[in-house]
Amino acid sequence: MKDSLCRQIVILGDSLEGWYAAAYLAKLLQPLPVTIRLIKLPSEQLDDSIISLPPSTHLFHQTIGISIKQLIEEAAGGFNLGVRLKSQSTNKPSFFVPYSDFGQSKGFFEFHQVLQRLDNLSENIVEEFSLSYKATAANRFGIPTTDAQRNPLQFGLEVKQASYKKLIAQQAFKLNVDMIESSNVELQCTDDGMVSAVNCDQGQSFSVDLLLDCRNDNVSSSFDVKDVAAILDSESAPSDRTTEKTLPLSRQHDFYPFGCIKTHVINGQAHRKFLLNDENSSLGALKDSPKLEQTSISNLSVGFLSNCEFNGPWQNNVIQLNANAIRFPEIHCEFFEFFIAALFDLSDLLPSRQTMAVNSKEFNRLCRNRFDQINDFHDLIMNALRLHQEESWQGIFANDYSNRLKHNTQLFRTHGRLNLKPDEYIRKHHYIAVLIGSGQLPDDYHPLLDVLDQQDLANELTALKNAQQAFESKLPDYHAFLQQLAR
Amino acid sequence: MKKRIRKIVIVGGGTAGWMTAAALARYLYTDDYQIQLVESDQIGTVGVGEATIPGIRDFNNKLGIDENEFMRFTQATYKLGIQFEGWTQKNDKYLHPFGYFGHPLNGVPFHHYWVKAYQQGDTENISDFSLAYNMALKEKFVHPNNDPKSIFSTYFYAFHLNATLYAQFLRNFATEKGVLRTEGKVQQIHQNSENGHITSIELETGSQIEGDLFIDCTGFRGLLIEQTLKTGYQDWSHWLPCDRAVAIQSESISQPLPYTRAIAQKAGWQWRIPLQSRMGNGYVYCSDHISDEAAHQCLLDNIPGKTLTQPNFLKFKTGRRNQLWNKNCVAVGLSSGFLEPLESTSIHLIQTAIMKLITHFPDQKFSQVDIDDYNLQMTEQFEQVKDFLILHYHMNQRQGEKFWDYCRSMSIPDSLKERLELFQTSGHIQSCKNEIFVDDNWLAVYIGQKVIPHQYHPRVDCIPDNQLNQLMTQMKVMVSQASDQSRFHYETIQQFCRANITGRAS
Repeated sequence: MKDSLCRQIVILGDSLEGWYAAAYLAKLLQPLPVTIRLIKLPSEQLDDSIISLPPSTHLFHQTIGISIKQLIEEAAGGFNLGVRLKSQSTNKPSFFVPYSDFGQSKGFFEFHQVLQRLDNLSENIVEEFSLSYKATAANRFGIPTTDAQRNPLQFGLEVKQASYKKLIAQQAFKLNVDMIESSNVELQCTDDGMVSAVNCDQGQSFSVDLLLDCRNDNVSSSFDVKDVAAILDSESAPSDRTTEKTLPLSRQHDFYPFGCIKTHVINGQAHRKFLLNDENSSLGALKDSPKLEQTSISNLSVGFLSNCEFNGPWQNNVIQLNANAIRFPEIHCEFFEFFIAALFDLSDLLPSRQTMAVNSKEFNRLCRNRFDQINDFHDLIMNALRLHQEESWQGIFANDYSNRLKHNTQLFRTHGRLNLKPDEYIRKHHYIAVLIGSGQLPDDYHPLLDVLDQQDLANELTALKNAQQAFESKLPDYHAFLQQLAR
Repeated sequence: MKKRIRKIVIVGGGTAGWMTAAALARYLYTDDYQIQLVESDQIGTVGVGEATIPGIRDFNNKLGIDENEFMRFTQATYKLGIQFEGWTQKNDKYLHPFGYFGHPLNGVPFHHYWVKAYQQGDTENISDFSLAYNMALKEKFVHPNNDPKSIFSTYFYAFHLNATLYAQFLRNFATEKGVLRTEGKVQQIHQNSENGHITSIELETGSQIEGDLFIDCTGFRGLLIEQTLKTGYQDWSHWLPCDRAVAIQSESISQPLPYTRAIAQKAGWQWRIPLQSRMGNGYVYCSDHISDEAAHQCLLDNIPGKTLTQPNFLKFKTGRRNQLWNKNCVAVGLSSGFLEPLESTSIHLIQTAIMKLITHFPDQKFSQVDIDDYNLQMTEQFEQVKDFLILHYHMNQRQGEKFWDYCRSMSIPDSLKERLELFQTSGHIQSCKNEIFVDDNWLAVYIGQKVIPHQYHPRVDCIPDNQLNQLMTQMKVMVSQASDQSRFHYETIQQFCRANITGRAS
């Protein structure tokens, strides 16, 4: 095994993702003779706007040795307990998607089915029964246990992105990650399409066993050359073996305002890259509030990949792990979740030279599944926000739902059921928050709920409300909690 | 006004029928529902699945059944796994235990460390790291506990049971809870002329039984789902070519083992299932490669005790119905499909069908999306078991026997091909958290069938060799000591659930 170990790992890009990957892999591979180099390319500096990190980032922070206290102190961080989604238009629905589950299921029956049996189901299910929502509304917050995973209030973090990146980079340096600055890079490929070396400024060249492309100035995904050629103007079709071309978007994709396509060709395999404008997006997260308000959705660019198949981010020995590898509308912080999940998958499927092909296939399969699940959820949100009724979104979402999403929405409509697996990437309560929050109530509850005594159910509901109230009242004031933590 | 299902008719007794009746009686306990089961003493039951997998405990718990009482009644023994004999080379054997092998180190699954040790010649048997495996081979059994720090939390158990008695036990349970049993043979099925739904069944006596929802538990015949509704069947015999079985009961000549034996034979395999009172035996075979008479003789030649029954010959076609729920009829048990009992999944598929019926319970509208979803979920279950079974056959090493040569060379489903390639190349087990068989189940059969990964996870080398050897030795010693200290299987039976069997030898 020692002979086939990927000893030379190169990360392209001084992005947040690049540093994430560098620090994480350096920690995992610590005692092994592996060199991790991050190549910093000239790119736009991150401003210190606030970004939102979902709960799944806690494990990453723990692994590389960053505490919550450090994040609060050094990245001017705060907490959030879910995401509020709303359209710019005032007459459209808005709803809160909490990170934690809400209510209490009863045997075979989902909580919302029980509420419907009690004639108590309304669009305000989250407002009434989500501890996350109540704590957010009351401006309270606490971590009752040091084990973040067992906390009944699953929380995300809000951090200033430049400070946060610096913090992670510091950890990466401590873990012996090398950083090389270069104005440009050239990839050297072997005949079988593997990247063998990266050439940087001043004749520096670094051999490569595994390359993680974390450049964040473009979007990368791998497609067959013929797919790309069908989209690009024929005279601009890529021909060089290792070139980059920037082309304007073709008409099929003119719903991306100000966008363009870049094509990077490695050994005849075209990697299509979108450059999308999202300057108008604003997260609106504030350090001193546990809310995450996300607005301006209809000004966001959304990377919907039509007429082409997503192969997955890992081709040969190159993994595209950047925020734009798959472009999600930033209406929910899935990118980080996707990225962290991909990083965890990579640690499970860390290749040797011999296992590169088979591990990449499995990695891509997992990414494709996750991608499909996220796409479904986005479509659901778009539909729930009725964005498809707005002029700028016309034609993008209508009639384009996957069979799986169609099936689930119909299934929900009959008796409030959903077919989602327990380890599904988007959790069941997220679906329920969106569906019910946007007024899509089931026609009927589970028929067997008639068997249960209505008064007993009502009493249980009252007990649940009382327990929630008691819990909420014990939570400290959010600002006081932050101050104490930072002390 | 909500139009609820009020009358449920279960056609066919046996294990599937009475499991369904018992579960529905447990959850539909008000007077608003009527559950009627129609069976005929003149029609024999197959008595599926005398061996089970651990999920059965969940089913019994949901019904509130006392385990010891159930075991006494069904003359059950505990089961820690299945021993496969002669599936690779003729004299090889391995056990598929219900439990974990070792424990992960630094977030890397244990088996990667084992692969490294194996490659270096430091260890041979992965069995040394499984408590269930060790206890089984030493004929020990104690109940596991829930303390995650204890080695006794690293395994699960199931039962060997008398399926006919299990059906009787559940019949008592169900009838006490109000299920109406009707003796009679079905002569005719009546359907609604507009939507094709079943409206009633007519018995030979001329009496008609109407219902809103019909459960077909009529076994291979599929009286409702196939003969009436013409649902269609997916044939999987090109992957699982066995199409016959012959079953015989015999006397026990020794203390019951806490595991099932699956012994490969010339054209299939033989089961041995130890109950408290007797031994269940059978030979599952492919009729293209052996005659019924030869199979019967082969079975008789390999039964150690005196036979107690005449041979019971069964014919089947491996596969499943195109829809397991069609219109207002749900097929449960052998009427829904058949997968040979190599991994003891028959009862598990019955209980899964029942629980999914409860979660998808319809109203009189019989919403098609609910039905589609049930079919989707049940189909997945069948597919998962199918791939797992094929693995056993496909990876055999029995050269020069036509049946086994065919199994080795046959094409396999892409889903299994991908899993195998991944494990063989890199030792990674494709994620199966939500499936019937999870990582350690696949691992046991992979390694047992001599599918040894070419590579282990690179992070295994993060632990220095001497430290790893030490850790592995510690694990091995813990497993060995824990199994040595455990009570014998027959002693645990004596203490908790000894059946009252007439004529039992002292």
